[in-house]
This record gives sequence, structure tokens and C-alpha cells, in this order.
Amino acid sequence: MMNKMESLKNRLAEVKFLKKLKLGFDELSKDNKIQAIIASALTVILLIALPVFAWFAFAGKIEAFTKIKEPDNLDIRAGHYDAVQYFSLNDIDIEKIKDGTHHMVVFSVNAGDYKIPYQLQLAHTTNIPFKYQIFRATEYVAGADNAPANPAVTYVSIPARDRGETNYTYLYVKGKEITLTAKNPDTADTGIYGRILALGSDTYYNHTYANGDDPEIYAVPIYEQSGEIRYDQNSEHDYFILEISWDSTAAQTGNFSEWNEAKNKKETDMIYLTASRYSG
Amino acid sequence: MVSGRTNKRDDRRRNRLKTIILLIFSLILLIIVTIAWFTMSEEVGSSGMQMSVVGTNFEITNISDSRDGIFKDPYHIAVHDEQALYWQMTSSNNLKNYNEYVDEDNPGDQGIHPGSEGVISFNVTPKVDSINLDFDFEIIGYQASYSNNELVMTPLSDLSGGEGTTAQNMLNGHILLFEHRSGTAGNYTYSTPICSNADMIRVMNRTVTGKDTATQIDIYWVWPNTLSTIVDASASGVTTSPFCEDNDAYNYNSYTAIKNNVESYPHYYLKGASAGDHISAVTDIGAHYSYYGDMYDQGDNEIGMRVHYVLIKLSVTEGTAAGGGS
Repeated sequence: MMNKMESLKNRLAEVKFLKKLKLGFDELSKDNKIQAIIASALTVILLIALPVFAWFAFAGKIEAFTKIKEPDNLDIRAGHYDAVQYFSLNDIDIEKIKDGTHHMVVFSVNAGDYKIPYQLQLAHTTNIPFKYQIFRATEYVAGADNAPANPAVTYVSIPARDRGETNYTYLYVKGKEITLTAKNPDTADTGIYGRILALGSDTYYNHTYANGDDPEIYAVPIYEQSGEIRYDQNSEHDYFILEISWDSTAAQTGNFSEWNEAKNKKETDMIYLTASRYSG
Repeated sequence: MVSGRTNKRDDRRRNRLKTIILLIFSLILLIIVTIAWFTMSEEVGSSGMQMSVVGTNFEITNISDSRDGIFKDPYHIAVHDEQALYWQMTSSNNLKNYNEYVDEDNPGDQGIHPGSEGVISFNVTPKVDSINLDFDFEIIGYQASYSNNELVMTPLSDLSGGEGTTAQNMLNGHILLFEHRSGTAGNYTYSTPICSNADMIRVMNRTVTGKDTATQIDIYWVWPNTLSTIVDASASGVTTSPFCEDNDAYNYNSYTAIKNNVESYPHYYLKGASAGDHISAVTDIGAHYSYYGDMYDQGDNEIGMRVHYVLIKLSVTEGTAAGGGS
């Protein structure tokens, strides 16, 4: 009962206040009325606009920012990481090779700052019954205490010599063999050709030759690839030895036994060594 | 009569003056309040103090002991959205943007690259007991150049002749975000990918609980080195296994989710692929990996050649649907 009375009293007070306010407003001059309306409107606008504006402005946004590191290099170069033009395949004496000498050339690979895993590809034509192998190699400076007595390759760095360095002869010792797998071998016809040549029709062949091309079968490149190679943690660069030897067994089989004839004026082969990021 | 009229005119003039003064006062008040707000935002942004961005029912803050990334000045500030919070990093939670240059032997962080991965984190504090939030991520690439010794940051989309389109696409498929990660460094398993949609936005939904309690949200980022880490290429003799699994530790079909994203948006992953190309993860990528793996690598190259900096924008809004728990 008391509560009801009180609420009634409050309600009455409210009405009285509103009435008073209305009366007060009516009593104002026109200018004062305008002034009061503008002031009230501005207050309301301020009250509404600020929080709304702030709400939009404060929508939960957060930003992170970073750099994209420049792409790294994967370089394949000559011995001692010299420029690639010093990678020389001259002076291959086929007659000597046939008699059992192995010709060895050193080359280097650098996998850049990231030290990405990579793979090597050896593509070559097959005119001469050569056997190609790639081995890991370790570099030593000639004359140093730890220099090996019988290095596989002795390499003279012409750039180092031209720079006036005292020691510019480097020795390389053969390490583990890098297994190469042929991507396009014609294994079915080894009996005819005496050894494995490239296939005359497959994806690689179609990528290399346009329709209508009819290359001589020994001129078709065979692609041999390594698996994943990880950088040598003990060396600034990775070194490899390309070893070329005479495949006498193959040369004496099949219909082409005359292959075993080795003359320096006989034939030419082209080889391509490439390194690419390992995608496996 | 004359004096009465003069009095009335004086009154009006006085009243008008009052109105004008009131107006000016209100304007000054408005300006002061607005400036105060902007100043507050600036101050906190540059001093690295703990500031927050708030929605109506939640608050986003940086994690403790974090600091600005090293590429903030002059690069990030050149493209920064004034209404956004600078995402701060720690020694373990960063985007390869934390360690400063010391000397040639310690060049500090140099940014992200294929094969890099990490985690970035922030806090969400609900102002209610439980809240469903949508987290929208967007990654934008920039080229930095100098014109009259002034730094110019050009978004990829503004490069002439659409030169940056491919790189911007690639950022969506090569820099991946995940909600979870397990395992050890170098051998992580990633779960619950936050994949890009057709609009290049990645959406994550979460329900965050605990009124006035900060919950740390971790976002795992990875730039996969090869396509075989996200799509199974064993049919092509590739030995690398994908780092996502189906029905994984978080009960999520993460492998399928990311595989489907590769199939839906091949132009985000493979350079040379177009939107709408039908490239199957099994009969195309899996069976002819040397071809598609190379397209992915070429995509990495495209990013490396075209993009100098990346901005990861996250906007958080109240959502309706909830995804994985907090």
C-alpha cells in the first residue's frame, strides 16, 4: 500500500516537473527557444555521434607486417666455385679413356643462404659409349698440411691466380657416389644399340622435338637425375666430380661392336649439368 | 516605444551572440574530444604500450612482452590503417620480423621465405560470458621503391598492367595459416587450415568464453617449400608426405580441406594456372608431379621477384556461427 502511494507520488512529481518544464519553455522568447533547441540537439548529436564514431573506428583490427626475403640463388659453377666458364671439358682423350683412364672434372654448387635441398641433372647425347658418374668431393689446398697425396682432381684456379693469391691449386678427393636415375631410358632396345640410349618417343622426347623432327637416335639426350642433395655442412660450397669412363662392356655388345673403336677424331657428345631446387 | 524596440533588438542581439558562443563552444568540445581520441590511438601505437582495439563485446590486445616488428618504421607505418592495432611480436611468436640487425654476422631477421614457418598471437578478452567471433585475415603484398628519396609503398593491385596480379594470387596459396599445429620443429603436423576464399579473405570462427579473461589466440603460418607438403604426390614417386592429415588430432579433415582449396583456387597455388581450371589433386598433381610441382616453385619465384613486404590484416567482428573452440 505504502509502495503504491509512493510510486503515485513519484509519478505526480514527474508530471509536475514536465508541466513546469513545458511552461518554462513556453515562457521563453522565440530566440531563447531556438537557443534551447539547438543546445539540446547538439548535446544529443554529441552523445550519439561520438560513441558510434568510436565504435566504427574501434572495430577489432590488428595488422602484422614483414618482409619477403629475396629469392635465393642456386649456382652451379666450376671448381673452387669459380665462374662457370672455367668448367672445362676439353682434353678428353678417348683413346686413353678406352684404355682405362678415367677423366674427372670438378664443379661446385652453392645452395645460397637458405641451403635449400637440390638435385642435379646430367643430360647428354649418346654418341660415344661413355659412362658418366657424379661423386661428392672434398676440397684441399695444394701444399697444405692436410693435402692428400693422391687427389682425384687437381684444379688450377685461374681467377685465384689472377687475383695474385699464393695458393691457387686445389685438390679434390672423391667421396660418395651420387646415384643418377635415367628418366627416359630405352631399356627394351639395349640389345640392338649395345647399351641404354634415350627413348625415341615419350614425354621427354615430345618436349624436345616438334612433330616431324627425326633426329638420329644417338643425338637424342638422355636425362639422368639425382635424388635430394643436402648441402655439405663442412664446406662453404658443395663440390662434385664428374667422372667419364669407357663403357667397354656395352661397347662390345649388340650390333654395334665397332663402338669399341675409340678414335679421337670420331664423335662428339654434348653434356649439360644443371642444378635445381628439389621438389620431391 | 523607441527605447522599448531598442531593448528588444539588444536582447535579440545578445541572444544570438549567446547562441553563436554556444555553437563555437560545442564545436571546440567536439574537436577536443576527437583529437584526444586520435592522440590516444597514436600514442599507444608508437610507444608500444599495451593498447587494445575493442568491439562492443570484446577487446583485442597484444600478448605480453611483445614489441613492434623490425619492419614497422618506415615500411609498415607507410601503409598502416590508423584504426588498427600494430600486431606485436615476441622472440618465439613472430613473422621473421623480430631480431634486429647487429652486424654482418648477425644480420637479424630478413623476412619470410619458402620453407619458413612460425606462429603469431594475440589476446581476445570477451566483455560477456561467451562470444562468437569472426576473424577475417587478408594478406596484401607491397613493392617498396623510392621516388625523390621518399619511400613509396605500392600494393600489388596498383602495379601497372596488372603486373602484380599473379603474385597477389600466389600469396593466398603459398603463405598458409592454420589454427593448430602439433609435433616438433622441422616435423610439424598442421591442422584446421584457414583457407582463402574467392575474395582472398580467410575466415576463422571461434567462440571465446570467460568474461574479462584474456584468451591467447595462436595463428600458425607456414610457407611450404614444395607442393608435395600439401598435396600427396606419392604416385609420382615423391617421398615427402603432406603435413596435414584427415581425421587428425583436432578431429578435422585438414588434408581434404587444403586439397579442396588447391582444386578450387589453382591460381593461388600454381603459376600458370587460371581461376576455373580443373586441376585434380590426384589425377593431375599426384600423377604428374614434376609438372605441377614446378608450377608451384615458379609461384614462389613470382612472390620472391615481385613482393617486397606483406601485410597481414586481421579484422575481428562478432559472428553468429562458432567453429573450433578457443
